[in-house]
Amino acid sequence: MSETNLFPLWLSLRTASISTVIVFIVGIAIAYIMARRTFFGKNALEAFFLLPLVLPPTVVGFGLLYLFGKNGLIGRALAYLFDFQIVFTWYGALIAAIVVSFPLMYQSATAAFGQYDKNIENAALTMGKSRWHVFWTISFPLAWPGLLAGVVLAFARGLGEFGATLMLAGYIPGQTDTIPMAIYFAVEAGDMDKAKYWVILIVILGFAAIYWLNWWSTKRMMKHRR
Amino acid sequence: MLQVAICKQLSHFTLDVELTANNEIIALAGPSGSGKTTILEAIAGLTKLDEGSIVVHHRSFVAKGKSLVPVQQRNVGYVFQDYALFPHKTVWENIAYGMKRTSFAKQMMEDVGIHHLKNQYPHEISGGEKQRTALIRAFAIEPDVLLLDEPFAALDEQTKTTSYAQLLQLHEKWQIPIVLVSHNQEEVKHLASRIYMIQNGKVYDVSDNT
Repeated sequence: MSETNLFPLWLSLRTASISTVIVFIVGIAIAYIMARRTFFGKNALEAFFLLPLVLPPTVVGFGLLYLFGKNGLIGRALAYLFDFQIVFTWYGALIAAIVVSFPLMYQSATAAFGQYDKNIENAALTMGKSRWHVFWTISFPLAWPGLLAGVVLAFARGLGEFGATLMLAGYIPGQTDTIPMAIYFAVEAGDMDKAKYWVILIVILGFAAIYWLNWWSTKRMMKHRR
Repeated sequence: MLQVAICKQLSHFTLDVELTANNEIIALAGPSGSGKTTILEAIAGLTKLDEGSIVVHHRSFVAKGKSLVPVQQRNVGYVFQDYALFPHKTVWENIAYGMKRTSFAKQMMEDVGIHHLKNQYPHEISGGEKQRTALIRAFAIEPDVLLLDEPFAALDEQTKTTSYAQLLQLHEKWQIPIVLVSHNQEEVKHLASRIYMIQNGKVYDVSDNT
């Protein structure tokens, strides 16, 4: 296959990887705080975070278009301040991937931080260690299996994102065509061989990612578990 | 010396207690949900108070209900009810986490007979060994006061007897106030020099009645 034909693979990997890193950091930070704080409106805020999970991707795409479009609140500000456009660029695919995969990471991280005895962290605090130190030496390793599940789900969701991406980034070959997009438009054009090629590739990619992460996790981080 | 005079609104009653401990073991007894653990958490700095003061060796932890010293700087050893050992760290890593002196920690491990378990993980050791690990971990920070939340409740009778002797030995060496929460009357009589009973949010010195 020519170099241009591999673009969907490159774009999908880039989009899914960057979005996973972003939702990993943001998801963990927010989930850690939410798991330990009680405040007015917490349930409403949580429902808002999880909304992309239950909404149709087209609704999420519409919302993003509304925000990041030429006349959208953020889109207009970005154009005015930095002469920067999100719609019909690969950044649109990235934002769509972040928004749809965030709830999966958030949900996994909240469950992960809530599953172990809080006194384990308290014990570490009484031993004179800072909250930052306790987070990295106690909370994070204990939550790791759950966080890893979040990473796998977020990556897979980012890799497979289609509806919201199509609405925000559009289909521009060589610019915004991720693998799911390439499959859809190949089928539309009756090019079943091309569609099959991408289907096989994305299945291998998804399987390999999950397999590797599980293997790595078992080897590195779960040695203390029975 | 430990001086506690605290007030905190709990879900069904107001905890309003005063107690003092010299370099001795004092026991807190009372029914479940009476606020015993809350008192320990208040001393450790793990819960907020509405009113009151906590002073350890002339150092004011809490004044007028306001925390003056964060949990990390209180130097309070705490053995939690279920031990709260770090499951992903070995016995030695648990003890070394907050220890001040390696030699002191190793000596204590030998004294209570857990030195040979240093490379084991908490899920690989028995209940009595977990209890001793938690106790040595708390002592390894060389605390100014030690809090024990029903540390012997899950042990069999024989292990309990050994554990009592070890606690008394450690206390004899390390003369600090120790607050022991316990349901077991025999246990508190054997270990504590003073016994406080908590009921309806109030604390009563019942040392002479037992």
